[in-house]
Amino acid sequence: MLALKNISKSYESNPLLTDISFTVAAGETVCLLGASGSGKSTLLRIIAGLEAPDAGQVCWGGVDLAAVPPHLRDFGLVFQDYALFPHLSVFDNVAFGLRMRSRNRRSLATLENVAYADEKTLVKEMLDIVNLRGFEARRVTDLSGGEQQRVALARALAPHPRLLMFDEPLGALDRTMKDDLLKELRAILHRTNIPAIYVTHDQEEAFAIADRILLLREGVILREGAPAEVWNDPRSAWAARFLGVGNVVEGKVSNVSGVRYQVETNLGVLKMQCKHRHAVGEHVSLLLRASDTGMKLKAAVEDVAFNRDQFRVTLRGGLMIELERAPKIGAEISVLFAMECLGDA
Amino acid sequence: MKLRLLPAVLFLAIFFFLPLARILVLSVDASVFTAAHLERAFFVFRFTFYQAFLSTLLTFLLGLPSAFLFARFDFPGKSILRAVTAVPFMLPTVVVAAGFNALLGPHGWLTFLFPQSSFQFTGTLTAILLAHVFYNTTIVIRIVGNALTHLDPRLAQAARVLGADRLRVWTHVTLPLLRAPMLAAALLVFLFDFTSFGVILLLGGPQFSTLEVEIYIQSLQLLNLPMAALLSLIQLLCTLVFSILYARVVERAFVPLMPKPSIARRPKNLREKIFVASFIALLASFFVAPLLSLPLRSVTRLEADRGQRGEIPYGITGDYYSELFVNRRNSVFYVPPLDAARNSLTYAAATVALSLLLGFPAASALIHPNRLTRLLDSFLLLPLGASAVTLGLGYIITFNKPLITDHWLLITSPFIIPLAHTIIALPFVIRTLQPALASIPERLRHAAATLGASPVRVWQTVDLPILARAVLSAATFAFTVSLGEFGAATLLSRPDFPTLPVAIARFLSQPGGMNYGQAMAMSTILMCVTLAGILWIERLRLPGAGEF
Repeated sequence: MLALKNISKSYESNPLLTDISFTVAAGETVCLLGASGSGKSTLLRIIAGLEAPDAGQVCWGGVDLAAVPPHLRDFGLVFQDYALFPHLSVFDNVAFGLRMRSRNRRSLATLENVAYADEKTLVKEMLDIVNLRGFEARRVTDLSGGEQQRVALARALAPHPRLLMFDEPLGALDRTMKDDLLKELRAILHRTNIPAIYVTHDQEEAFAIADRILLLREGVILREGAPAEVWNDPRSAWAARFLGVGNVVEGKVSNVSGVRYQVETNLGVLKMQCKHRHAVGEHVSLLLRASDTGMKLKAAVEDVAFNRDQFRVTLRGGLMIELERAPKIGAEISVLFAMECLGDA
Repeated sequence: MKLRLLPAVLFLAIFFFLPLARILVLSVDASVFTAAHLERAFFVFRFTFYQAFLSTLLTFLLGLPSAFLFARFDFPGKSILRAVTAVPFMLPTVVVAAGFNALLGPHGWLTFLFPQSSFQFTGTLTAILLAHVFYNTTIVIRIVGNALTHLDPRLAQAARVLGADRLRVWTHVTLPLLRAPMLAAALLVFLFDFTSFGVILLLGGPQFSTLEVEIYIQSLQLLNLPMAALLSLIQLLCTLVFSILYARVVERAFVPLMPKPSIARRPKNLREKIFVASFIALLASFFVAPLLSLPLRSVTRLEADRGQRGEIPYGITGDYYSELFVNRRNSVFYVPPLDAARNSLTYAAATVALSLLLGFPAASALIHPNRLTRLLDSFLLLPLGASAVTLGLGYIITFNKPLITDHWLLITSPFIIPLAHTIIALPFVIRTLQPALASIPERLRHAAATLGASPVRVWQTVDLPILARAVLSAATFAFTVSLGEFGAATLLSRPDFPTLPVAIARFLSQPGGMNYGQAMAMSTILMCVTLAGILWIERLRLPGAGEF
């Protein structure tokens, strides 16, 4: 449905986005995951039509949207700090898009026709969906952060946009609120079947909501795939570190014989096989994940921290693993690690 | 009750509330309510309202696009242009009147350059309106512009994505959010236009009687004090209503806006460039022309002196300035300009001393407010709303009886003017000192003490540097206010002790090139002194301290 073709954008001659291409299929939730400054918000604004790309196209159903102004694109956008209209009540905020679009539709026949039930019923329905029944007359400035975000969501949903975009929608909320809203959001997206683009810097959020993840680094898509794929095979040291997959260890290739390599690291010399070709002296990054099979490493426990239902254990040398039971600090334990090469360091 | 507040409160009671009460008493005298009086009062009130309304409308016509210009666009010289638009607000009314006179008046540049044109400026409503726009545009730029700057751009973007085109973003989001700031600015501008005195008297003339001008005419020329008191009462009630309305708008209706970094940028397309360029040109010429034509006119001879025959020596001249030091006529009421300047400086110095003496203890008492002091705080600010002419009338009514001895009258003594000026300056002085006093946190003193400073050293190194700036700034403020004040001085100054603005007005009203030239010269000096004062205050302002 939505297709981005070779989008590039620079700001004051610094490249912000470089050659971004991807598609969003019907009912699919795509998550743009990246650190702040990676250009993800700019990308959303380009899709919304609030900014023009330097190069490339934003297409819907094969039609280039370049000439379509933002108010006729029929997309929904949820902002990080909600951007609710402070002079309007909850009801009027939610009804805003309906009122604007019903006027646009009268003058333009180009958009697919959605039959609008009467405004009151629709707003009520939306507030029901986001669990804000009875909030119609409240002032938006009196609401809590979580409630404001629900109103923002209802406001974006109300006109039944053909695409929903979320710009760090849960960034300002606390953990519990985040988890609750994330669950609701998934349910809503599932039920409405509206394709969505979700932008965040939080990998847990991304893994929880996405059908597909696009990992963005400095304006370039680094990795693309389903959450499980990306997690199992991050393919680069940066991606592994950013996603918090296992331990990334750097080292220098010291010996090569066929596909067998020896790598000098601060954990000692590690032996491994690798699909890449490396020369002696090359710096490489290795990914070590605790596993049932693989290389056995013995090390002293340096630190133990409780983390939800497990213990996060730091071993001498900096390796981290999660264990069901807490070992004693200072005790020597042995752990099995699966090891793979992530290529050049 | 904090004793330090007592002097200021007592002073206000005697020299502000007592005169107002006397006006009140006099105005409810049954003899005032004749049909003729009431008819006249209504007529004057209607015109006052009408001209204030028109002025406010025109001020917005210029001010709104200007606010938009400053809030949304960056251009070279932006801060200078903004400062230029703000200057008139601080200038004495006589200077502004003289400036417009020098530009558009019968002896001004326009008449000189186009002698055939039948354009009439002084004595018209246009002159009054133009001067009001000149004065108050900065209020719109500041209040509405500020709100525009802090408007979250994402609100407009959200509206766009929700289906609003550019026009409806304005009508449904931007304008509703600006409604309260616009209303606040409108009320403030209206209040200033409603109570304007000098501009109307000097540029419009007595045929344009606003409440202020009529109070002056009734009390000084027709000696009808009850009628003047009635008009003052109407004036007071009106300003009270507008002040209350303003306070309510400011307090309640402001939609809480998240402060955002500036969104100003360079103009991008041709339409924006044309808008920016044309408004820069318009603002620059409108605000600079009167201020520039005044000093230029003061050193240029354009017409014959009184009684002068034969060829007129056009050209650059220093005569108007050197003439200020010469006492030409020895008539009874003629006062050499130099004496007027000396009077003004003396009054200003007395005002500074008195307002600091009263203001400093009051400000220090208001640092840690409780319920009582908070009440007194707003009580101390009340004179801001009262008009200077009403104050003057109140003094005439109240202090025209022998006070200490049988012969000594306060009203005819030179002390009366500094007293009135102190009432006008005191709110500003307290408002300047209070934040500075409050800004010295106890922790700073403790920190200095634990670092080994004795209490004296602490005072020297911590308190003094911060306070010195605030005191200097407050003093300069009181000084410039007193120096340029026209309304009260017109009513209260004795003919043989005029202040500089009163003398300027007198010279402006007399025929002859030399008198006109001297008015120009004195206005120029007054303007320069005031500008120096403004710059001085700007430089003294602590970084981060509020504007007012």
